[in-house]
Amino acid sequence: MVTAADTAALHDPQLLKGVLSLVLLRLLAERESYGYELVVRIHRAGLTGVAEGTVYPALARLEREQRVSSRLVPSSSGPARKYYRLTPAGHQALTAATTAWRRLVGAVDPLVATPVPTDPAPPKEQ
Amino acid sequence: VIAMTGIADRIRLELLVQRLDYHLSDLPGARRRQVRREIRANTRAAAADVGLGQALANLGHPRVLAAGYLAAEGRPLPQYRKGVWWAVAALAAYVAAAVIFTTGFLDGAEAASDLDRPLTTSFLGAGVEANPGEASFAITFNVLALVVPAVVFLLASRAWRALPPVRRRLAARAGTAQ
Repeated sequence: MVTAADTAALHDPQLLKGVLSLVLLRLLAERESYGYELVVRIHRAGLTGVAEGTVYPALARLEREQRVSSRLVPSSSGPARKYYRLTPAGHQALTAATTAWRRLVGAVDPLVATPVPTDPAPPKEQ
Repeated sequence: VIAMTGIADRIRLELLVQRLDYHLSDLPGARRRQVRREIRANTRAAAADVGLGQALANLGHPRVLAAGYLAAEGRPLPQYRKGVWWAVAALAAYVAAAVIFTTGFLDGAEAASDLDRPLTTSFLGAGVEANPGEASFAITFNVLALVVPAVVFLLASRAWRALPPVRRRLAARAGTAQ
């Protein structure tokens, strides 16, 4: 069951912004995709707060950083679509970002997993 | 959901693309064309899923979307649009100052003499001719009238940002030397 807190987390732009590159690199490691297709895949993964207006510039940045490459593919339902795929530098970045993410979760999770005390303890004496 | 088929939908999409393009004016032309093409293709695909209204709303404000693309360049860009506005303002100020000076000069010439012949002087490079007898004046602008706005354009637009960063050139030179 998705709670209100879950929904809020999935729409927090600051939280999502920090992991967007990792998510994009991970999805592109699985399959070559164009911009809107990536948005749909991100939403299906549960990150419904990620908007098109955030994803498209992020793809442009990843392409400038040479972590993804692109090619135009004709579409039967409209103009040619720009498909992105991971480069070797993108694979390296994905590995590094995944490691960093796991370390971050590993450090933060024990902190937030314990019950929150109702009354903070007084400061320790110097 | 009905995919965009009508002319009205195409116009709505194109209006958004053009608004986005306006805010992307500091990007090189080829890059802007790429962004326009990609936004059109993605938004048409989104419209087939959720309708054009929602697809356009999901893009957010064109100015914010453009800011995302400009930030994605990862370097400070020349601000050509700002440069043009400042250059026009500088030219207008230069012409206005020349006209104000000349009318004052004409008033002075009329008050100081009853000459019929024209009096000439100059103002910041512009030739000024006052005809007290006819209560008229003429201003002849020279190349300075173009130089002033051009310099203002270069400074206001930060045109030097279009040059390759000095650090990159130095690094390339050091790499060649090794």
